[in-house]
Amino acid sequence: MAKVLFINPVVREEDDPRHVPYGMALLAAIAMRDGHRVQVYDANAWRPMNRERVLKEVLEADDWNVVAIGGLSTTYGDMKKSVRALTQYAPQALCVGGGGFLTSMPREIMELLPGLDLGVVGEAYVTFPEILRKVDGKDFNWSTTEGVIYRDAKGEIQMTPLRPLLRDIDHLPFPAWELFPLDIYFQNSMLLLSEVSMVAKRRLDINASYGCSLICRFCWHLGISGDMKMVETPKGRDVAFTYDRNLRWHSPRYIIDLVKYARDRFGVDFILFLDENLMTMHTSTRGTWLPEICRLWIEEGLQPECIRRGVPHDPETCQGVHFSGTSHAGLVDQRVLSLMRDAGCAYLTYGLESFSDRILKNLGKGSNAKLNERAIRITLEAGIRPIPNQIIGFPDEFFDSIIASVEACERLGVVADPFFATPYPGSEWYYTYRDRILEQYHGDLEAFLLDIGDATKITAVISENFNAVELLGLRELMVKRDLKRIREYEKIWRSQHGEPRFPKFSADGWRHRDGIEWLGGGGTSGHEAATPLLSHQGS
Amino acid sequence: MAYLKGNYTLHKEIQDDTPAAEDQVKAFERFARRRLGGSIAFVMKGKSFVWAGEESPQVKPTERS
Repeated sequence: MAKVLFINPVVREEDDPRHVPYGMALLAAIAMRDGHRVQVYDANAWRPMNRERVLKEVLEADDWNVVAIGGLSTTYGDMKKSVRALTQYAPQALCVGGGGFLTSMPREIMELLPGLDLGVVGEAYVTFPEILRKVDGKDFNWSTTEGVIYRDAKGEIQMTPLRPLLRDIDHLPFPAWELFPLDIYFQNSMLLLSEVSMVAKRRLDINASYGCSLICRFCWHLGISGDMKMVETPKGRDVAFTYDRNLRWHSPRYIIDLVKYARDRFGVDFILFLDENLMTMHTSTRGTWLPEICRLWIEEGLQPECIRRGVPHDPETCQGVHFSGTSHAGLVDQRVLSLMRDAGCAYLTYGLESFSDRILKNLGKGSNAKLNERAIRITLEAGIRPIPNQIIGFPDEFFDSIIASVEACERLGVVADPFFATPYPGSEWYYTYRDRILEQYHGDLEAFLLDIGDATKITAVISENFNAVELLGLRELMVKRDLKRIREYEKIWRSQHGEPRFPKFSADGWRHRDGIEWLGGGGTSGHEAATPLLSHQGS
Repeated sequence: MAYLKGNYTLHKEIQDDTPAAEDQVKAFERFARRRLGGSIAFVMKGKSFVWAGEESPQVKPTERS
């Protein structure tokens, strides 16, 4: 059987390692289930002093058949180093890449990383084990494997048809968490997002669903939400992303069994749901999924003791498992919040983004300022901390939207240091503003990839009205709620620029890309064409 | 240090206990950058700092503040 090495890249160099990579842990479990010999090098957790030396020794530690790397676009720089080292120290191994960094722009990544032999485009749960079977059989003809990008005998980049998404996700094994240095992750279990998560001692993250029905233009869904299509471009086949959706969620039974497994084997006291948005799944199941999860959570003994007894949480003695996840201001309701609180929900993250109705409408957020305020109120009333994420630097950001957000924050007691609007690869913003993004990096796509982080620092600016310096200053003034200086600067701005520009967004913006031909089929099951999703309901 | 964890035993020990000087520099600068602000500040080594002035510049009394 194949000898497989997984390398988890460094994520957020400026922060501690906090999250076991769920997808990689699942792929490791799948590879082991199929009988392969698996090792994991978690560079993110270890962060050794001698990074280059340790990586070299890892790559020379066995006669690897496959070295698998993957992560989000923000880890591109670290993965580039791994691929370069791999070609030097483990040239016999097939270098396979996957995850968001590759799926968002497979052709460009293959061009940027000549040491990468094979890329998994989109979901890897079926594609990756097929690759390992082929490696076992010494069959390196990738043209018959769906969902990959590879180099042919002439060295030219080829892409095969997209692989349909896995339908029965409950057959997936539980992640191989035990292959990752959990002691390191548990040291960083605490999350400064609520009183309970702040003192979590053994946290693990789970993914209970795939995709999100919403169409926020800064977001993309890793090609695993039914959003990805294959297109023909002048350079050959490539991927493009649409408003199509194929949402999938694990059964409450699978989720509860997974959490109980995490508690019984690893002693977890906190579970972070990584799901893009729990409330879109709640809506898509007509309000049945979350209540059933909460019912089972309590019935099967996962409810924290402090909630059951109505006493303050004591991390030293409290039995049970708290949890958190992501909600949505337009979809949340009091009933589900109450059920979640009773089961042990400590906080819910809301991408409120702004309190300007213009911004929220153009963003495709499915919410408005009133709903944002309501969500904060009913979440607090339910006894759950709402985490009110904010963004500055939207394409149509202007002084009125900034002032609306500052006033709302003052009224509601929101304390936030906004993210910068960032056009991540794969998002609609990235395609809309690609030329402008590249202009800011002198046409160097790789420089942009190496620059993007977690949106707390400014990178490519997509605001029609503000430059990077202005956004940095305005964010500082937002945080300090300094409306006086914001209004003073508006007068200066208007004297220099006149009236603001507000771009128009169409509901089918994805389709308006030059030079591509849409091909049918692909990543969505049961959808023949890329149709725009205009409503977040009933997908 | 067991940098590798897997479903079979590897007999190779991977070491990280004798960092080279340049690795210590990198590690220090990484940590310092994470806490940057106020008095946490540093000068990067290896940035080819070039001093083009005199070896020991003399400040004239009239230039002193």
